[in-house]
Amino acid sequence: MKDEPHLQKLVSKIVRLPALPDNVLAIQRLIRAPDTTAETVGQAIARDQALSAQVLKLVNSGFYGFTTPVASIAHAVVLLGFGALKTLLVSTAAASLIGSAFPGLYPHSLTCARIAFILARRQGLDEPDELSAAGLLHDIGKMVLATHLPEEYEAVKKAVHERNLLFMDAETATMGVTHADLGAWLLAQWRLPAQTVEPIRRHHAFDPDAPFAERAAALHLADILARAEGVGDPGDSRIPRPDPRALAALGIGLPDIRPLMDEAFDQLTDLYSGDAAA
Amino acid sequence: MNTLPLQKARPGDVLATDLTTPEGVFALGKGATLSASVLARLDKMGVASVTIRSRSDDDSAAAMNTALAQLAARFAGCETDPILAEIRRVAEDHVRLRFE
Ligand SMILES: [Fe+2]
Ligand SMILES: [Fe+2]
Repeated sequence: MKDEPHLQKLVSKIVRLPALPDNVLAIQRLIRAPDTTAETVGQAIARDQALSAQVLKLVNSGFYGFTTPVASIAHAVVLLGFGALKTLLVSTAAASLIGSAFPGLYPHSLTCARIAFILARRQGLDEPDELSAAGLLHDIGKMVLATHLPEEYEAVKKAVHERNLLFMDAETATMGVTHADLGAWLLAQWRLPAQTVEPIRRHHAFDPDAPFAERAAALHLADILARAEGVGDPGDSRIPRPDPRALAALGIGLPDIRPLMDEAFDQLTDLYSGDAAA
Repeated sequence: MNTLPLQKARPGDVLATDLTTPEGVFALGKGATLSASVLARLDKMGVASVTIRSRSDDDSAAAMNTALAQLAARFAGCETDPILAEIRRVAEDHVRLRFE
């Protein structure tokens, strides 16, 4: 990949990797053990009260489309399955990290997650709940930038404000890589699977031939729609152009936009009141 | 805050300034809420106009205009893309719905 040297140079400046908490790491180890079942993982999460509370808060934050509240970890495990559980665990830890980047990034991320879920369900994509967790994480690279690369972040912010650029264009202009590359790098370090990492890497640079292109297309469009609805703050105040190939990959045409956005809008009302802090 | 003829004031409006009669006599203090009977009494006292705080529907009209202006700024330069033009139309309808 042509950006690789830029990325390596940038991440070499990060003194300490944004870390997952020990309890999350322990459960990740359990998940990787050969004979672990979803039930044992559920029990391990349930024994950790603080983690259970965070997991349930996220499960009930609206992006899984459950109509009744999920009250227990055991119930969450049944509803979500193993794959989504792994991503959810990282999302739980990431939610507060994303919230610490800059105000507005978490509501933007949560909006993108909800829209990605709706999009996945409407278009019949696999595992909508994993996609919504990826939606929550899609801009985590901005957190890395804001909290671990302060000089670079200042230069990007300056370019965004002085030249009214998209955040990603300001990143390319000043660093040669974007938050999508940084985020994918971090999530790979955190051992998230390729089906989550690759779509996040491609959410602003759609490639129909890249792995998991359909999911990348969903994140690409969900980000644009989250910006259109004006919830939260992605760090700039413009709208990227939707890539026609991404829309084609999703099977979305002009007549599908209104019903999709109307369904999303119905599920965003609580976010407009502005109390979506991580 | 705006000044209206007394006939245009409604019960529930809140005074934004102290109110005096045409003779210069203090009638009601800033912050008082006008009721139907108070409005009738002010009329008898010869008060022709009142200065009231903006009503909550004026506030929400202002908030809606701000949201629409932000939306227009976000979409500036996107007019040529038919999908983005549609996204913008729907988002604009959603802003109006939120403030209805
Ligand atoms: Fe992004
Ligand atoms: Fe985004």
